Amino acid sequence: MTNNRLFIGAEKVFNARNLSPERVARTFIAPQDFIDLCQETHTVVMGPRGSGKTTLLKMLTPRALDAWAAPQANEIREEIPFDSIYIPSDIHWEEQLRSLSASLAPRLDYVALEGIFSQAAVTVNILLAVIDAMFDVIKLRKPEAARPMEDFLEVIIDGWKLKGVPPIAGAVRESLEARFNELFILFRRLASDITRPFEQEKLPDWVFLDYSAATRLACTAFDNTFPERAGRKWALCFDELELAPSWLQNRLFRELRSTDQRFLLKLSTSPLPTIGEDVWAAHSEDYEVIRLWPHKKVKARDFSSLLALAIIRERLGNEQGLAELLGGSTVASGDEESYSRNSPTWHVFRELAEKDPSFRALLEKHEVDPQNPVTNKRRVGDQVLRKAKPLAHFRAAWLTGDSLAGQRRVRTRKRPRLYHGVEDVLDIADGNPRWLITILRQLLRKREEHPERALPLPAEEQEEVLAQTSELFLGFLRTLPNPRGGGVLGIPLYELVEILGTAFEEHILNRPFSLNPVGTVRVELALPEPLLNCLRWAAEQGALIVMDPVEQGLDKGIEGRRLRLTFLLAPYFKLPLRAYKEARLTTCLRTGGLEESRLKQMELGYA
Amino acid sequence: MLERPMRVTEIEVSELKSSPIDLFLVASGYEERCTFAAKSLAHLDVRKKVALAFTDRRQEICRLENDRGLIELGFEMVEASGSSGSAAVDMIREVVSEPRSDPYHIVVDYSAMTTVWYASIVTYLCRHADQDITVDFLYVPAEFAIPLPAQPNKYVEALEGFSALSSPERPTALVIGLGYESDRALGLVNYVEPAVTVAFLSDPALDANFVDSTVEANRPLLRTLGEEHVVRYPLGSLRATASLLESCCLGLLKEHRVILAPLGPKPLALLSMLLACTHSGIEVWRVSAGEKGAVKSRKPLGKILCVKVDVGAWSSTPPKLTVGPEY
Repeated sequence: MTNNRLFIGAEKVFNARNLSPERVARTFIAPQDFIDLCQETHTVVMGPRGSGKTTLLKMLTPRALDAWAAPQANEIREEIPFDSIYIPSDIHWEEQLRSLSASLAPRLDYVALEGIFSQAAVTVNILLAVIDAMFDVIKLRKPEAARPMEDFLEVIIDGWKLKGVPPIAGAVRESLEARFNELFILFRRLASDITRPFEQEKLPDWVFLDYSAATRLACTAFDNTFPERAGRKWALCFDELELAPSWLQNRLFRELRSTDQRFLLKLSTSPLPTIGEDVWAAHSEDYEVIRLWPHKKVKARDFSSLLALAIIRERLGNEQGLAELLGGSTVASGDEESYSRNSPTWHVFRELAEKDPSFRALLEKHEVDPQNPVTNKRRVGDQVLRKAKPLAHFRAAWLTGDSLAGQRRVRTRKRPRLYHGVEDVLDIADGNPRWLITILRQLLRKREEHPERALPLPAEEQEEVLAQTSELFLGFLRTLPNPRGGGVLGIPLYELVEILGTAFEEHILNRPFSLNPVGTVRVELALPEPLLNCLRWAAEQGALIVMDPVEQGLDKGIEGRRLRLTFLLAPYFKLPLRAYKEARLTTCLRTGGLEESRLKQMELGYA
Repeated sequence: MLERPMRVTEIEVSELKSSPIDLFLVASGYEERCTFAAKSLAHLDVRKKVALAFTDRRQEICRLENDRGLIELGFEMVEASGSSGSAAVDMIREVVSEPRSDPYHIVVDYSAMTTVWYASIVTYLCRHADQDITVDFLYVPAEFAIPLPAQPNKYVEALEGFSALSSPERPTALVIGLGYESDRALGLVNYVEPAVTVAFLSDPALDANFVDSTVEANRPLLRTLGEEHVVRYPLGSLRATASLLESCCLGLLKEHRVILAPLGPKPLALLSMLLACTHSGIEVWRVSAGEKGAVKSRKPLGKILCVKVDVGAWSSTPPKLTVGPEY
């Protein structure tokens, strides 16, 4: 009955959240990020949806590590100096907390009540994770330690206020889980009758447990009972923290610098978490940040090619390589030969020079003959022809004589083979494992349909798959609801993406040829909050890529950051897989067609 | 969710004449079917008739005609915002304010009501009503009309009063009642990323065109789910529909957090709410595009589907429809 997928309509893709740790481990390929995450430091793992945050955190759990059978697994397992406690969160959990909190809003004592409810629910969730991890450690790490657990469980029962529960593992767990329902009933009654008095002293003691103190207590009891793990730390792994209540996010980010030495925090969150003013800047040296998307320091291709190779070999056998299956990209390949006379690019330069006066002028300015666009000057080759190559391919493919005469560009229906080959496939996946898996599975199906054909796969078939995936992703964005806090004034995500894509298309294809056209945006300061929420939401979904995260620590917010559209959307908007010059965000929004009145509404805060 | 005993049965509309009615509640909007039940049941012995009149779209399609028709039938017009159920609940609360030995009898035509309105009524019945009440929920099916282009999803959230709290370690099961607006269900699946998705498809529908239209609007979703995850239910038999819905949800509830998202016909939404009332842990979510753009009239198909909900004490008549355990 299980179906896990990136987006419906595409291939089935595993979402680690819905998989057991053992299942995650079965196909896990360790990137360098995982090795970094295994270090004895606090770590914040940041990334958009599908970037592999949950996989990394789940792989730290005792069950996943135990089940992991890769060649390097033993070495990594033995070196990890902690046992992990995986604390889940998801959109469903977020909505459950939000919905019950909102139902308390009509009460005059809302603030106090909501705080108690939220903290109690979060604590129960964490303690369940703690007990599960401890039982796993007992089961997996020390099978010979079949000593009675009563003493340990007695401490838990007493400290976690589980009065009357027998010291049996299953009973402790069941009682803890039952607390969700008790909490729900308790607070829903208060929500449904706003006149019902709230007497704090009548609430059960466990409602006021602090997750941190209760966890410390359990860990101390555990280590006293099982002293053989002395010296090992506990890592609290909070997954999808962006979906947790804001007080928890702030508290955990604060605890990165002042938590009990026996504990490590491994936090996964969105690319731009909304955290409190006092939290973001200080003590960034106290934790490591792992960003799971390509940015100024990280190229996407290294891990992607490893993953791609594993997928290909799993489906087609050991002898198949990535380059063999996909060949090279016409646009992205950097061969010297590609600029030589009669090369494909030479023909493209000539073709474009004939119909695009601005390109012809550029060549002439650099003393390159438009009829024979070659050069023996290294500087011109590097700085003009190399840079012009991808742009020339795109403009030659999409521009018509009419468009260059100032008329609307006529688009051909046929795709001109601008996206294919190893480089393009890896770049379009943009470092996102889910996207890469989706693309590769479709490509591999093409191969399986025609095993008799010579490789690489035909360029047009590769382009068809990439273009379909691009459209599918835009369709997926269209179905997403408004961002949290986006309100009625915010721009729907798909519309924001359409506007920016249209603006970049305008700069890259329609305006006079430039070696560095506008292709990215810089978010100005003091923009309206609904717009900032939409941008954060877009980054969270992977539609926008933050290109220049801060060197150390966390970004304060999206203001001041440079953004580009994910390359997954490039085929839809007919854009090259390059990050070109930046322009101000609002300028691009206007270029892309956002009405001035909507910007004004967002500034004013009302329609 | 249930805080008062409740029994749900399917009845024929002809059975309504058996007892006097304390309140007949309808909605007056732009849809042509707004007055159908009120006219068809004009002969009933009703003490109070109230039409909740939408505060927007006062001039569109059949609205003026509906207002006039309902006033002629003796309905008092009460203005109500589509996004708040308080007017509907206030009407019921006012009628059932006095304690009495016989159960109160209320009839609600929810055909043209917003989800929030009848969700509020259901919430009131199962949580707040301190009198014994019988409510007959009437639904007037509409003729098929080609759907307008779907607006993108704007809000995805639990209906007020229909949430739950459970461990996020449990996987989510999403049970969707398919509607004929394309991308609505798809968006929900993409957003929630459930471990299990089950789609409820009205087949046979009361008008066969609905089946084709729903299948067409949800083709990518249905293709990916496969037949084994699609439950076809006969909308004409609420009893059979309720039974399918209940067995599906209870099966899933053992290991999952269950979200019911009835995006399709209103009777399925009502049954979902009633099921959530009788089984804790089942949530009902809504997916909404916010403000509607253009709207279409909905012509009545000529029949009425009726669900009787008894809150508190009830007679010994065996139930024809079962939603949840017997109390």
